[in-house]
Amino acid sequence: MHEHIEPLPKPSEKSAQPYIAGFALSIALTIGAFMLVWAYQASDGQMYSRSLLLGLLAVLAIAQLLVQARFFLHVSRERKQRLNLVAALFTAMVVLTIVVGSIWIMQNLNYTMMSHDTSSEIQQDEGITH
Amino acid sequence: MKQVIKSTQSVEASPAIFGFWLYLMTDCLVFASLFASFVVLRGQTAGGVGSKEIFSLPFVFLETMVLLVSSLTSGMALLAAQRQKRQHTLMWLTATALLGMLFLGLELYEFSSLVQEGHSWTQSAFLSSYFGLVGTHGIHIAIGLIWLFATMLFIYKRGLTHRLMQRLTMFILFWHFLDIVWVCIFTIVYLIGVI
Repeated sequence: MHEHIEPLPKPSEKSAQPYIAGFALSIALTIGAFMLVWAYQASDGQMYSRSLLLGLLAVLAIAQLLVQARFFLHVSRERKQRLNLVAALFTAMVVLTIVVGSIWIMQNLNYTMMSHDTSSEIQQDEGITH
Repeated sequence: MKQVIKSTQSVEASPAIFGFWLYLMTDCLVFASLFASFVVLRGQTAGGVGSKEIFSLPFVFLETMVLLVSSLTSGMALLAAQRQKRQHTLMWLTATALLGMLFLGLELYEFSSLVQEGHSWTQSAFLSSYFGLVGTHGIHIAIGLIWLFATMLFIYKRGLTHRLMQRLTMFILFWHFLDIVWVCIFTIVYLIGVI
């Protein structure tokens, strides 16, 4: 009974269109990221600030990750793919914990073990007076 | 025709593919640790060269485009296989293999010229983590190419059987995954490295 009501896959699911779309978007996002850096270098950092550039690069990279996951890996919310999505989301959480946690801890370590006159710098930063 | 659609459907939703997906997720964790160590160690140049001096953006752009196009051709191969067109599948897979070898060649050229200029992985923590991260990606590409050659040989000899469809689907997932990792590498290592 169940097989009879299962709809056949739509023709669009098997066409090359999603691949072409994903490919075009990936090309555009890649060229965008490189152009931003080239424009920044060409203007000697005058056109926009470094932190703005870092933010834009992060946005472009995350956008491309999502585009490729959607169009190439076919990650979606449809029912038979649900477990794949859950596994991917959990992995993303662990990846963020590893990367952000490492940066956070190591920066803190660098801060407290920076140089010879560290203790006086920290005392100044933290407003500690004797 | 109905039979064909049914068999490809069962390939995509099979437990084996889900198992392979879980392997890819654990591979993400390997790369996450390597990215974390690279980001932490990128400034530790031990008085040697930093990323600004040794990275060439046009070269990386070329590598990126080669890998991206190979991702597209591998997807085309899977589509052709789902339509049971063996010749087209093999043609697209050959294109994928050629682009993959070109990418690997470019990466090896980059590594060897760095080492020849005296910037090998023994120089500083920055270079160790750089070679560790990008080299691990390169090793994945190399193993993927061996896997691709084996799959092409089997498809050539046996045709697009159910088992080979499954193996091909896994390979395509693996190849797309490596392209996604490369997006992180060119952004975090190269683009952020030179600004």
